[in-house]
Amino acid sequence: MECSKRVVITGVGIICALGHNRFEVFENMKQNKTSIGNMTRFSTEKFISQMGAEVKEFVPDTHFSKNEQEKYDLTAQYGIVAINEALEDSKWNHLTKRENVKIGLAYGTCNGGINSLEASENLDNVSPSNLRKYPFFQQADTIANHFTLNGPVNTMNTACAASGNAIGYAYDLLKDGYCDVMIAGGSDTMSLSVYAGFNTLQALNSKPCSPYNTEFGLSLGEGAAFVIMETLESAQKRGCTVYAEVCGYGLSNDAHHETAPDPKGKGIQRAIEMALKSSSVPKEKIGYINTHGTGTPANDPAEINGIRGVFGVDLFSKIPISSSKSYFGHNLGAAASIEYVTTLLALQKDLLPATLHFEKAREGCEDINLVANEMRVGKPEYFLCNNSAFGGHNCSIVSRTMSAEEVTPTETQTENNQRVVIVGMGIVHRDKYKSGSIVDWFSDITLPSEESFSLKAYNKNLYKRRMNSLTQFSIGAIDLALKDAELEITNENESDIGLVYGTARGSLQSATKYLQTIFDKGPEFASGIYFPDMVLNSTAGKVSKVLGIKGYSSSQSAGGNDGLLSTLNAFQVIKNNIQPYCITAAGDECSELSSEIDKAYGLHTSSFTATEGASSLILTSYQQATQQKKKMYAEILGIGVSFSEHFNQSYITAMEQALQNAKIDKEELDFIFYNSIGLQSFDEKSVIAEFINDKNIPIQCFNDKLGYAQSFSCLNHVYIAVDAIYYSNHYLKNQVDEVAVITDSFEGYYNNNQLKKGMVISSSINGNSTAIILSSIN
Amino acid sequence: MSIEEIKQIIKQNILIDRLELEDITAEEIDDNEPLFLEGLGLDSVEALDIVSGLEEEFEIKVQGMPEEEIRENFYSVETLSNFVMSRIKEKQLS
Repeated sequence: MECSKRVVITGVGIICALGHNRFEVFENMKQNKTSIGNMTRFSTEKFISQMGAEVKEFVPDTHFSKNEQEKYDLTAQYGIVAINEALEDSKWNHLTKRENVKIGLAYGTCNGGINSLEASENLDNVSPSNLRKYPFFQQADTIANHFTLNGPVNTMNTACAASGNAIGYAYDLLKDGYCDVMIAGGSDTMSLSVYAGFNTLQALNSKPCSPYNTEFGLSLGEGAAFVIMETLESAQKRGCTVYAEVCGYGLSNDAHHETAPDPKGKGIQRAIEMALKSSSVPKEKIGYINTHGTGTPANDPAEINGIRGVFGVDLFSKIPISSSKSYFGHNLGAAASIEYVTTLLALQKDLLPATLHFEKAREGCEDINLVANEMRVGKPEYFLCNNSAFGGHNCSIVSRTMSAEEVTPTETQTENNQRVVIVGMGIVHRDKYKSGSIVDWFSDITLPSEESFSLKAYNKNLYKRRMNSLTQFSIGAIDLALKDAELEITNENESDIGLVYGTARGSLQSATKYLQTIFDKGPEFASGIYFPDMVLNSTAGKVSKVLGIKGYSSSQSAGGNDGLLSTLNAFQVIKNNIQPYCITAAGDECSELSSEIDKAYGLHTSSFTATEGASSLILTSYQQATQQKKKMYAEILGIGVSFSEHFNQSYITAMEQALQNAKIDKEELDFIFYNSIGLQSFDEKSVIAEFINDKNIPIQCFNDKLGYAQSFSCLNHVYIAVDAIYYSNHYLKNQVDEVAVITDSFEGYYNNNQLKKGMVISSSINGNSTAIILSSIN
Repeated sequence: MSIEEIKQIIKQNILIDRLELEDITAEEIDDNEPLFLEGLGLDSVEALDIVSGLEEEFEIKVQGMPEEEIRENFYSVETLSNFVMSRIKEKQLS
């Protein structure tokens, strides 16, 4: 039986319309102030609302050098300001104290560096420096470099649930010992194109928003909030303030609609139930719920239905509930963390945050025990924070108010440690697609086609009109993997299957269409049909809806190791027994804007051709696979993660951590596959060779055959590694003809060798590295 | 602008070009065919995109219209064209 650590919050930082730090924000909450008012950043004359919650009097000069201001998008700047405060609050701000401490970042954002794309008012002439400031993952990497972070760095792009997802993600990494400290939260800025999209969807309130009130609509906000998370043991040793313990969290997908929630609230209900189950907290103990409560007619009653579904009518009417959005608007990717941090600030003073401007409950919300118009005294032991998003993603976090002295850091014992195996694989590469082994692709000497996979041709029932390429590839790959695993999604098992999806850039085809209409015609004519694709989790949302996947659900961006980090998350879902099955997938599509971004990063000089497609693996426990008589390809023994602006450093740390977690020695490795970027400045092979003391094993990259793409190339290497392990064992044992195929295909490396253990490693162009150890099934 | 011209703009510029309806041409869209559900199968987001399309094509103000009115006036190309015609006339009068 292994022990799992307890995770607590030891610092908070915030910047939003209500204030530039935690003191200002809380003072204004106490005075029942709203920061929602008339917009000043851009003209809202032609919109149905002129309201917004803007960060006022932000002076970058007081925080950043001129050089930093040029390099950092405003969203990264807000993030850094909030993180500075949180590090100072938790007393991790001195670099000297951080020696030998592994600090990571889980960053949530809905719109990435959208302001940098908007700056040119035309997509054809965005400067390379602005193109580099746009990608979602770039914000996290910029921040990681700013603070010289060395731990795991990942961006959650689950739109309005992103920063809640980030806190949950950080909780898992700390609990499983991947790092010592995690910075988690989110940041988003006010954006004309985002405002225009909500305007087109008629979601905006013409007055400051008041969730659950009879006045419908939301008010947009901007800002950032971050928490510092570490183990209870570490917090006690350092003798610092503890705001709360994170007890567990849940994620889910509605699989219902790209923008609107399931009216019955079943998605948020599943997320809350997962959060309660994973934290082992009985629902009767929840003493306060901070809701997503945007104020729109679609969100509020749906969410309330979901919560009522969890707690039952009686218990529901007793629990104090509020949405904090009337203080500071809907902060999108930063919504969850801003609401979480302000809830912590209020609870520190035994107060519950309020919903301002409340007059009369709207239909379907009459039985809420709403903390209306001013904060109420309350001392809940446990509380919930909920958020929901476009793409159907939901997040719920269970936390416990506590002080560090209160409890001894007894580690909770867990029986949940499952062996994680791969039982299905599917891939779409250009116009080729396959379930299971792709060994035969390597004996095919024809050049990759320039044609794209068509989902409509593959299975027209899975296709919906205007579906962008990325979504088509991803649905194709995941469907192929599910078929390979002989896993059919039914009403009975739909909630038992999770999906963690990695995409560095989302669909830039769709983003281009959306932004170009705004630039060409004006923001008042924004395209409502392409707006929902501006958020990168749109693809995971559509996959979930089309295939009916309703369990644990996340979408993430890392810019080069996306597919490996999504595999890490899926691995944890299975290992910690959260779900019986979890899909990991990643995908990329080619587009003009994508090529421009490649150029801005220098990726166009890569020795590999830019490619597109998606790949997917189905993960389950050894126990489940045995019971269900699934074909087991390989086992995941352990994963390592690290960040450094010098990729060779994070490469080595990730490999060391992967070996340590897999409990094996590097001498035991039969091969190492690496996902090379193909740039001269990245000599990945030499770093690996030195790491294994030039031991004579194959060190191989397959991008010369498959091309390079930021999100899924790394997962392709896992795919091939799994394939090689399975076939070298299976077919060599059975002496069938395929042996010849394999030995020829993989350049003769495996002749007569049964591959037992291998490693796959990938680094992003910014030095975000992940390594995974795979093994044949014992 | 005649009602026939309005219908043509709605079918071609809005339904086919803007909403990118596939496997159908403007000529094949029946004036009385329902736009939503069992008809052309449009959804609520597409309805709101039609609003933006109408504003752009006919320079009329439609934003902020309650959902019930959208449902009523956006039933088919026929009802939608009549709605546009009345808005154009209102605009000319004011």
